Amino acid sequence: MLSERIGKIRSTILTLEEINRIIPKEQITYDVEANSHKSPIIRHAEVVERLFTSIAINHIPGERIAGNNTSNYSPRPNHLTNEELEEIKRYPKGVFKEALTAMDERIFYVWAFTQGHIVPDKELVLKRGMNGIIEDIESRLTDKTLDRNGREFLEASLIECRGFLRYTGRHAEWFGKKAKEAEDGGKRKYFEDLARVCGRVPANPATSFREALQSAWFVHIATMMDDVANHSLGRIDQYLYPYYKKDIDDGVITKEEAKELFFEFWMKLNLGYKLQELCGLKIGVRAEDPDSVGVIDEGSYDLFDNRDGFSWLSLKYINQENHTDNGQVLDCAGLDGEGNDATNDISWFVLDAVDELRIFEPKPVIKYTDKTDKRFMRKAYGILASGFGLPAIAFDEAGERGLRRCNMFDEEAIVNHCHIGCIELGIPGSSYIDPMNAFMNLPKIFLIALNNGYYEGRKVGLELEAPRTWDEFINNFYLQLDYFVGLYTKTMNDASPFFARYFVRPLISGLIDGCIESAVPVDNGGARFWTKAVNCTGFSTAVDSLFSIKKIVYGEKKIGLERLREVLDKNFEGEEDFRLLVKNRIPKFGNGVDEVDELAKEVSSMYAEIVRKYKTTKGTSYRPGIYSFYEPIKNMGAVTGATPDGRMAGEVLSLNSAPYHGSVKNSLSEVLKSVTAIEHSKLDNASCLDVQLNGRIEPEVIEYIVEYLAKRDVLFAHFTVVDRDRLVEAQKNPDRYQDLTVRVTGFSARFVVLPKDTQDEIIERSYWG
Amino acid sequence: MGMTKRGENNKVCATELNIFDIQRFSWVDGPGIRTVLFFKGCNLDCIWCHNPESRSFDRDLLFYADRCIGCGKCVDICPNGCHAFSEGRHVVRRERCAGCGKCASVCNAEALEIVGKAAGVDDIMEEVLEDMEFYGMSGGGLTLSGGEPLLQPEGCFEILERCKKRGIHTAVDTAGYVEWSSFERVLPVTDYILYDVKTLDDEVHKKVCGVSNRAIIRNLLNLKDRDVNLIVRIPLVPGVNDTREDVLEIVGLVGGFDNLVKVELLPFHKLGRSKYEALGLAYRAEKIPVPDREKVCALRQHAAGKR
Repeated sequence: MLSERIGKIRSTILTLEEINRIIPKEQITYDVEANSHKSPIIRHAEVVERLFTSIAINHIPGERIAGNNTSNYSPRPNHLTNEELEEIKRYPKGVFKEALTAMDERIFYVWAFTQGHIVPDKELVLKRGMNGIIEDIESRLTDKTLDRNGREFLEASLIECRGFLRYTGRHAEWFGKKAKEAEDGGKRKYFEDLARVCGRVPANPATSFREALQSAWFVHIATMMDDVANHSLGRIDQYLYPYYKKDIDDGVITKEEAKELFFEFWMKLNLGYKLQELCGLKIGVRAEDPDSVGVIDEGSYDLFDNRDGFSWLSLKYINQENHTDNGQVLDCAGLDGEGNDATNDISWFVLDAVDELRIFEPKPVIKYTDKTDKRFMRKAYGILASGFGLPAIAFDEAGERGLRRCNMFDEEAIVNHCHIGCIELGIPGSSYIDPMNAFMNLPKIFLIALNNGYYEGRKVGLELEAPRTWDEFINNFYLQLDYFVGLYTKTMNDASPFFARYFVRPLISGLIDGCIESAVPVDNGGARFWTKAVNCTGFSTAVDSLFSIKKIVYGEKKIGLERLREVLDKNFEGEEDFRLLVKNRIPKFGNGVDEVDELAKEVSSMYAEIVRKYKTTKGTSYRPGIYSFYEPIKNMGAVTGATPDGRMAGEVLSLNSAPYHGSVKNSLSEVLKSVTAIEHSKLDNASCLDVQLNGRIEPEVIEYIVEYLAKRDVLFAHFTVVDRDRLVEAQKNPDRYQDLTVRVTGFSARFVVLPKDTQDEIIERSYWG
Repeated sequence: MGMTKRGENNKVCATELNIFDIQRFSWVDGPGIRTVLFFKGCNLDCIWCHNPESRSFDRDLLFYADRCIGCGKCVDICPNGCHAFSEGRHVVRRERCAGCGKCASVCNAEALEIVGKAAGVDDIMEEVLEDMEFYGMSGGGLTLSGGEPLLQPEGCFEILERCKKRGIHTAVDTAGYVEWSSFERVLPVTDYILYDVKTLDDEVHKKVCGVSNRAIIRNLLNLKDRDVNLIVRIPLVPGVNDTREDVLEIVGLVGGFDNLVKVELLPFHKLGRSKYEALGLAYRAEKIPVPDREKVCALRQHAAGKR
């Protein structure tokens, strides 16, 4: 049961008008041209410093954790000169032709630099205070051998760190003034406490649970001002616990009080996300206006606009306008340093917060091991069964196995791994993983292989000899795949140093192990563990297409390659019966059919091997992932022709490692068998299972599935228990929801084949929970 | 049917079962995660039946008109002239259908489906064994359902015995309108009986299920204190058995059984309607309302508390 105070704060942050009243939107300015003689990194630091020193302090009544200045309300001004912006816009024209062609065809995207997707070391700030970090930077600056870049990075970092402390100091002053103005003693004490806490942290090491939470939250605000969002929090239950334990032991706080404070912290993380949800804002580059880089307003945007053959997604952040907080992942449970279950009271607070607050950020992940407290897991299963899509479950052992494959991380780091940004594996406070990249379009690469290097008559890939056997066919597919991964990594290795000159994160770099020591910012390679990733899109669409070829062209010889090409080029026009044959009569990934599952395993392993062959500018191997989200499967699907799995031209591609929409026709057992045929730890950057459950689910059912997955090589699972919205969506787009099964005792039917009035009835029924 | 096959340990399996479906990963048909084997053929005629394809002992042809693309391959392949196109519309002359399934085998659109098959015990076991891991962790196993499984007592026994030998938990879902000897045949190899009871009022029972309930009640009473767990399931149908008294009456009958695990209520729903259409049958439950949620909750209290 939420206390009245927490309930009030919750309703405030969930009401846009209330937030807007309390947190005014401000436009802070910075004269770039007047400072054009300075380097971009110093300008960036000055811009962030300007934010820290100028934005208005505000306060939500009743809250005991201070600070509500997310970047949504006070966007970071531009720090680049017009000349520099022009140079950045011109950059893609200089990229070599083959890569531009591949990007034009949306075979991959290049996001030239990373935003977010990092776990700044909050634990370090809690332990040493920002003063400790400032001392480190100052001491590093005494090194006379530093080159100009190194010196400027450290100076920039220093400017931001000092600015950050002015920002928190302004809070202390503001609350001190409020305390003086307070009419009654209770109010005075309330503001004095806030002033005292803000006066101590994050400058100094935290000495209490409240100070630890305050410090961690201030750091979160600061890193988002330096960068954008998608800042994950790492193993929050582990680094907060010592402060909680001490307070409990000393009797200065009760468990209930600690839980309330933790809830406040939790709600802070929802501020920016709620704004996005309420405004329906989309970010990106306006497709019809090539000069709209960084311009954001409501309207239609193409997140993956490919102007000049280059994905400009990254450039939207130049002005950092209206970026929304999301991807605030945090980890709990897992193992401690001695290999014991690490579940503690804070881990339980995490589940309590999900259960009682029911807000969508942050996004907790449970690091599941066979030692994890069963009662804790049961609480999580209960929440999932209730239809709330959080928490996610990650499998620790497989995660460790995956990270070991990278030949980069040490054992201590591997045990301490967490999830970053979305679902990617990384090490808190010491790794740079550039996670969300490439989205290699496997189905299109398949089509190019089918056409011996051509797409719609244009030469796009390698010109190869026409295959005579299945082995030759799939080998050609791998050769094309290798070619495009090679193109991608070369393009990325050229582009990232260029972009790293302009887009910098000096404060965050100071909170990533290795950067101060090497005097190199995180994006340039300063992190102790530094590598990049190649993810792929449309995995099962590609596998199903390959299997179709194997079966009907080389196996049953129902059709020749030449004729198949014609049918696909015509998008199955006049060949509907053939389309239905390949769609309905040939087994798919997800049906638990060994032959298909074996192929999926082979393709995923080959993909991983190919990606790992390629090296970053630092000489580390690229990390493979089967990972995409909704925009890539839609945008890449839109420019990908008909495939021999029965998918029509332009239709979406499959998501993550899930079977294609409509492929799942029978039971969950079969899907689980298929998806666990892949060795997910080979896709160590990220590979997500989206487990969709329908109808009334007992928590035990989720438990059984988790235990089944835990015994296999699975990294990460999301559980969705179907809700009304999904049913409504299924009614509108039946093709995409072929697998949606409704279950009522003894009866089971596919939702989409039921007549509309029955569907209506089920939709009503699902309200009942 | 009537074929003989070599089974495990070279033992001859005389039986093939007349079934229409095997569903895996069910969590609503007995304890844990279960595989459900649906037998074809039922000797009750309940007006609300949600599995109309389970009733006939013969194969059924289902036709989903909205999926038909009009390719006409069924017309060419059917030996009995069952399919025809009249003014662009696919007409199914069911009276000519011999259930051979040739039409369904060429229908890529899956507009035609043949329901019902003779399945050997070995083949069924192979599929049942696929989910051993889930049975193990959840206490689940195999449930025989239907249709009426106990109308094929030998087949039931054979498959259940095989399960028991493998340590698989077993359950039989029955409407109970069978010879008592059929129960006696399966009881030694059955852990749970899921026993459907509609109403104790014989006149009502005859009207809505087509037969007298006397044998059903007699068999139910025979199960008292036997070495098998019993779950009594009441399909809750408005106008038939949805009053407090109706439920309490049934609860009263079985409340004293030492082997009763629980009384479950299964609220009537109309999800089966599209299957009637596909079978070319009239849907007789159109006018029956779906029971409202509060009422179901209240009745569930009676079902749980009063035993």
